[in-house]
Amino acid sequence: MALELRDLRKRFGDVAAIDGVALRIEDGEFFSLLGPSGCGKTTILRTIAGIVTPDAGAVVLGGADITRRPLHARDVTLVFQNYALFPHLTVFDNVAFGLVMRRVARAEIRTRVEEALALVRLAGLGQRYPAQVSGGQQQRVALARALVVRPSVLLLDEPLSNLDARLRDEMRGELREIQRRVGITTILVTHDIHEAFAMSDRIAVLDRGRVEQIGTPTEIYQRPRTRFVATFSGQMNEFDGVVEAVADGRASVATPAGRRVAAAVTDDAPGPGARASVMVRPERVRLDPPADADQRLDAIVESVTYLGGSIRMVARAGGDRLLADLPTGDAPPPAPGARVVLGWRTADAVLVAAG
Amino acid sequence: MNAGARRWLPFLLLLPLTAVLCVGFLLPLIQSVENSFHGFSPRGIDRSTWTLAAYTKLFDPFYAGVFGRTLRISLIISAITAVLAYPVALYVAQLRGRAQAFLLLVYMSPWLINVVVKAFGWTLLLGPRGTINTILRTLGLTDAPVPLMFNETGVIIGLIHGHFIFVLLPLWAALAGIDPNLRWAAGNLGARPWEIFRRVTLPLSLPALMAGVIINFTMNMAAFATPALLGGTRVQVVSFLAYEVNLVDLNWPLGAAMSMVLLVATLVLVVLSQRIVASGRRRVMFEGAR
Ligand SMILES: Nc1ncnc2c1ncn2[C@@H]1O[C@H](COP(=O)(O)OP(=O)(O)OP(=O)(O)O)[C@@H](O)[C@H]1O
Ligand SMILES: [Mg+2]
Repeated sequence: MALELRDLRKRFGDVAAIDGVALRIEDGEFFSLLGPSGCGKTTILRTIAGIVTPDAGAVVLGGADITRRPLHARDVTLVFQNYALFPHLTVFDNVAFGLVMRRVARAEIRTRVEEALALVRLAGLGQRYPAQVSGGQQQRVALARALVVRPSVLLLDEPLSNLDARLRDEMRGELREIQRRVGITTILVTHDIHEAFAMSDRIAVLDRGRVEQIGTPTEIYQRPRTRFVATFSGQMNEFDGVVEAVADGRASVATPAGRRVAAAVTDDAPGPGARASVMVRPERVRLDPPADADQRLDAIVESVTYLGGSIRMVARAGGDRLLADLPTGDAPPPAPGARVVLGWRTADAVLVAAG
Repeated sequence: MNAGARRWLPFLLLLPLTAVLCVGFLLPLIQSVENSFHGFSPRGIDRSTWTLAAYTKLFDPFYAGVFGRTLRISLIISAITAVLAYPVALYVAQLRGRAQAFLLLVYMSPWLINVVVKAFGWTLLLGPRGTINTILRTLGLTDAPVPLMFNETGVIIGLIHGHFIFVLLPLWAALAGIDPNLRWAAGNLGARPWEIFRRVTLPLSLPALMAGVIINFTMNMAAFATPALLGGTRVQVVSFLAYEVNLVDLNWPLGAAMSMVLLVATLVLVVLSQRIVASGRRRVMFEGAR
C-alpha cells in the first residue's frame, strides 16, 4: 500500500528530530531512509508505526489519514533496531504473536508461522527461545514476526547493523529477495550507503530531520543535489568558487585560484554569482584522459595506493588536491612525483550550492 | 596467574563466608534437627532418648491452631500486598529517575522506623478511640467502635504496612528493567494495552513478583513484635509461641520441632510458587507450549 508523509514534524526539547519531512512511497516499493546517526530516521519510523506522535503533519496510508490511529490498530509492522523479541516466548510464539492478536484460527496460525519460519530459513527452530539462537537468526525471527501478519507496510530499523560483514551481505540479498517475493511496501532505515544502494528502489537522504534528496541509488550517487548528499554518499573532488555562467545545461565555476571548472546542471542549479562547488567522483577522474574528457588539469602525483580492484591516486594540481580511482591495468601506475594529466567529462561533474 | 591458582581462587574467596555460614547457620541447624528428636524433662533436654514426642505434640489443637493461624495470616498479608504493590510498582517504574527515587524512599520509610514505634503509631489510628473510629463515629457511620486491633485485622494491617517494600522493590526493579521496545513491539503487532500487560509485562515481572512475595511471606511468618503489639494475646503466632517454648519453658525439643515445621512449610511454599511462575509463563504462550 502506498504511504505518504505530509510535512511531518517532531521536536524533542530543542532538537527537531523531524523537521518537515514530506515523501511518498509507492505500493510495493523498497524505500530507504539514509542519513547519519541522529538525523531522525528512527523517529520517522516510530511516527509511522504510531509509537511517536508527531507535533504536526500527517501519515497517510493507502489514502487514509492514520496520524492519530492507536499503535495496535495500524496495519504496519516494525522490525526494531534491537529486534525486541519477547524473551519469555519461544521463536514460534514470537512469530505467532501478531496472528493471535488478530484472532486468526489456531490451525491457520500453525501453518502461517511454519511458512514464515521457512521463508526466513528458520524451520525447525520454533521451540527455541530468542536467547538460544544467534544474532543473525534473531534478526530473521524479528523479520518473520513482522512479515507473518502480512502488513500493508514493513518498517525495518537498521535490521542488519548488528551482524558481521559476511552475514550482513547475505542477509541484504535475502531480505531484498523476500521483499520481492512478498511484494510488500518496505521502508528501510540505515546509515550505511552501500546497504541503501544495494537494496533500494529509491532513497531519501536525510540530514538533521530534513530530506536532502529523494532519488534512485544512481541519481543519489551520480547526481547529488546538495553538498551533504554528495559527500555523504561517497568521496568527492571539490572545486569551490563562484558560478560565472550557466548555458546549455552547463555551468562554469571560477575558483579563487583562478581555475575554471565546468559541470552539467539542471534548471534549478545555482545561478551566476552564487557560491557553489563543482564535484567529481574519484572514479570518474581518468589518467591521460581520452578526447571526450574535456575537463583537464596538469598534476603532480603525491601518492599511489594499490587497492586490488583499483588504484587510489592522490595528486596535486596547483592548490587543489585530487583523488582519482584508476583501473588496475598492466602498466605500472605513475610513481609519486611524476607529472600527469588528469581529466573527466563535464557530464560527470555536478554543481552544488556552497553549504 | 597459572591455571591451578585460577581454578582455586574462587573457592578461596568463598572460604570465609562458607566458614561463617557453617559455624553460624549450618551447625545450629543440624543441632536443631537433632534436638527436635530428643526427649524433654522438666530438668531440660534429655539427649539420651530419641523420640517423636515433640512432633506429635505439634498436632495438639492448640499448637496446630497457632500454626494454621500464622500461615493463614501470612498468606493473606502476602496476597493483599501483591495486589496493592503491583499498581504502585507499575506507576513508579514509569516515572522519571528522580521521582522514582523519591517515591521509593517514601515507601521504604516505614522500614527505617522501629517496629515498636510503628505499632504504637498504628494504635493511635486503629484503637477504639483512634483516629479511624473517631471519624466513623463523627460521620455517624457506626455506633460502637469497629474492632481494628487486638485481632487478626490489626496484625494484617500492621504487617502489610511493615513488609510492603519487600514486594514493591523487586517488582519495581523488574518492571523498570523491561525494555519499553517490548511493549511497543507487542502494540505494533496488534496488542491492545490490556493484552500488552497480560502477555508481556505481567509474565516478565512474574518471577520478581514471586520473589518479593516469598520474602514477604517469610517475613510475615517470622514477625514477632507487630503481632504481639497489634494482635494481643488472642492472636498468638508461631514466632511468639517459639519464644515462649524456647526461652520461657526452655523446652528445646519442642522449639526445634516448631522450627523444622516452619522451615519445611516455607520451603514447600517456595517450590509451589516457582511452579506457579512456570505455569503462568506457559499460559501466555499459544502454540509453542507442548
Ligand atoms: N525520546 C526522545 N527524547 C529526546 N530526544 C530524542 C528522543 N528520541 C530521539 N531523540 C533525538 O532526536 C534525534 C533523532 O533521533 P533518532 O533516534 O530518530 O535518530 P536516528 O537517525 O535513528 O539515529 P541512529 O542512526 O543513531 O539510530 C536525536 O538527536 C535524538 O537524540
Ligand atoms: Mg535509529
